Amino acid sequence: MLISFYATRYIYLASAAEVFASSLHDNGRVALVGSKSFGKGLIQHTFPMPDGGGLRLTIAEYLTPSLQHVTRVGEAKYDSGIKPDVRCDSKQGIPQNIGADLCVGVALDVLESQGG
Amino acid sequence: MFGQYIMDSSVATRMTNPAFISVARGQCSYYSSGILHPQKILCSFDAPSSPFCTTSLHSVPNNEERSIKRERRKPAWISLLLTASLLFGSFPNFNGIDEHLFDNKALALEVVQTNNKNTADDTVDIFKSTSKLSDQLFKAMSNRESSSSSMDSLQNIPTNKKQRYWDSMEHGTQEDILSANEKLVDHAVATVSTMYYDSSGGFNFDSQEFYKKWKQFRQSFHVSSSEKKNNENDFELLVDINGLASRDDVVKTLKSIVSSLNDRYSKYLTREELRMELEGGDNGFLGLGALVDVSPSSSEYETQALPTLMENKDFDKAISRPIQGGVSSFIQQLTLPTSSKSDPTILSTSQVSNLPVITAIIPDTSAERVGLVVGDRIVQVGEYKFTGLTNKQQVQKALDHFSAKDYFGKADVTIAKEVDSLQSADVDNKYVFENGMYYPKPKRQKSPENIVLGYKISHVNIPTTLTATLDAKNEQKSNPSVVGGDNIVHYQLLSPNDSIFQHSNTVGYIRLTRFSRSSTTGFISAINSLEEAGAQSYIIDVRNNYGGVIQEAMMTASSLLRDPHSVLCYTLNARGGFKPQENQEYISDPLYNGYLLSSEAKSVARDQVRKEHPDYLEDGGWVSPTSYASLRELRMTRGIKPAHAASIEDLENAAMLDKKDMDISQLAEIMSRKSQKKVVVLINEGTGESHICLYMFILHIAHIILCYTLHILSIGC
Repeated sequence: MLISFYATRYIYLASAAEVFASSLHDNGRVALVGSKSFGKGLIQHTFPMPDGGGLRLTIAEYLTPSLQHVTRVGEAKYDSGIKPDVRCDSKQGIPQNIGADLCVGVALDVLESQGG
Repeated sequence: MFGQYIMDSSVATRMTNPAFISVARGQCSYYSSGILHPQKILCSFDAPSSPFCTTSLHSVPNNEERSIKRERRKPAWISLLLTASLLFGSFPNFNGIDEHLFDNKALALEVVQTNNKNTADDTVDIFKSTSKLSDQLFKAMSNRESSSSSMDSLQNIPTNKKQRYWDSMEHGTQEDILSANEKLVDHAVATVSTMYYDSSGGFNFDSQEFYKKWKQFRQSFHVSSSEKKNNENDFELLVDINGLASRDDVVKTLKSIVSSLNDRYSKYLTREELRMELEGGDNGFLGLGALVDVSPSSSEYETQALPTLMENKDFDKAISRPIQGGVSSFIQQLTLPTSSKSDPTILSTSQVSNLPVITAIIPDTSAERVGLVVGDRIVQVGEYKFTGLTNKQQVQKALDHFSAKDYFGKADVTIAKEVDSLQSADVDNKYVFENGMYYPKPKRQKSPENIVLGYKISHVNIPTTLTATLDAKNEQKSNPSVVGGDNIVHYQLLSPNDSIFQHSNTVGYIRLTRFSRSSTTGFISAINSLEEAGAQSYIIDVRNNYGGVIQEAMMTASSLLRDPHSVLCYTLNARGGFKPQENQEYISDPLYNGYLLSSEAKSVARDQVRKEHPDYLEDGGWVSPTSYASLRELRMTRGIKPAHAASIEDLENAAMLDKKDMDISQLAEIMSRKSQKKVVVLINEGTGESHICLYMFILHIAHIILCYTLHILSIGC
């Protein structure tokens, strides 16, 4: 039963959170608050093998709507990841009580300044 | 070809970006019919003219003709097969590649026959149709209909085939085993060479060469063992020293073939490993909720010893300075003056290069609470120091020692956090202030970013996940007015009283911990209940969200975008396909709930799609929407008005008609009618690492099943 859950056809794994953030940001819908994201930018698929195993391969890359790479290109020292509009470290930890989170506070400020 | 409509000035400027060009190699055809003719840059870059390059030269029909033609042509997978056969000379293990793409075997056989009859004249036509390759791949990608059918992908390989393999493993003669293993490796090599996407744009991996070498090796493999020593072939080194005589050897071989790609996200999983991944595991390192891995820089020593299939050594030299000398020595020059000797709390970048690194943080765990982030290094656990270890194997062994299921209590961990240089502030200034004026910053002056000066050591006491869950039960929880959701999506309403920060509005907070099918529905229901509670703006938290299924992320994003033509992302595949993923493709999904968080009617975006593409909303009516990519194109050539146009005209009309005494209240009403609620998305270093998404997804399901069982036994969960 677990296997059938996992092994859905055409499941493409990616750093989906980056797709989400960049697609909304580049279309001018949201402001980003936080620190620079990981910068994976690649899409994987697990191909079934005749021995019952799986071959997980990188099969594609995605660019943001403003045609920026998210991943590092080759060995080039090129920027990767999605940059926030307003910077805020999460190194102090994300508390259970969301109201006490510093970055949530910054986000509230951003909303306030937008008149939201 | 598909990119031709997206050409505008901003794209043209990106074209001059060398990094973009490097990826666009092999995809030049997709830009070459663009308005600004950037093919000069691209194709000259691509010295040996690839078949993909010639594509565009042959086929630049006008838009409408082509789109009609496309539908009448043979299905696109035929062209995929034909190209594959062209690339490899002969057909690489036909049954192997992508069986799930080609359902109809009879048709496929027909193609193989046509392939045999191929003449030189035919090739032009075949090249013409290669442009549809990407169409096919992404049709498969966006084919949500079939993804919902929750098929067992292990059954994509017919069970009898799997059975046959294991039969010959167990009962077969030596020759049976050898041939079965050889077929398996052939299958893997063929899949890699057709499907693998190389993020350097073809500099590090040449799919034609890859399969050709395997073919050569396979032939020499059968001749005799003495002759093949003289043959210079990378597969000599990749294939295990004992050949393919036993199961262990073939596993080793497959692993080394995949690792020769030098891609950290690609790997081969055996049957057992796949099952392990499905069953889920521990709570990571010491049960803290952080996943720790061997540092990638320490593994470089290992990969240098391993053979790689890199083709363009010159490119490597040109673009990347040598790994040990170049970049790192540059960084060391900038190292803090107080490093190493004088200040014991600061480690230099070279000192931490062998320390294990945190690769992912599981949301809502104690590791997250104490502020561990992706990229932190583990220096010491209790009395055990990681600093003395020199190679990858030792570190891995130590990590295995600390990775267990049920640690209890509090762990005393010493970690090292990055110290960035000042100029590495993530927000870069695009303008320079000079002589009292702001000038756009010249590109070359862009300061190198994220230079890590060193690592600062700090001690943390982290309760393990087990301890934390027990503590949480005893704690008195603060109860916000509106709270809900599950492990994947949870939300709460931040009224002015709930937060330590002062704000006047009620704000909805939604946390997405991963993207799966239940996350999209969870997101929509979270928004619905927060709307009911009166949220005026939103914070969406994707920190430490390690990814998941890309279509679900785009589904979630599309519920906040009005214009059906807005692009969610562009995808580049191994065959040179370049395709915009548009909002309207996701609007057609039954899960989509309309245009959320706006004062406009929810159905407004869906109605526009229904008007323009009634076929989108029918089952199976999927067509490639690529010819609708650019709004400019729509306005200029087709007279289709984009969604924004209506609102702009409304505003103009209101302003023009009542110019004498402009009715401000009317204007304000129009504006507010078209307004959207403000949204902020929270991101951090952990956003986007998808190392473990799968196994966590399964853990969640396991949890549900467990709860369900307990519920039946009326124990509670």
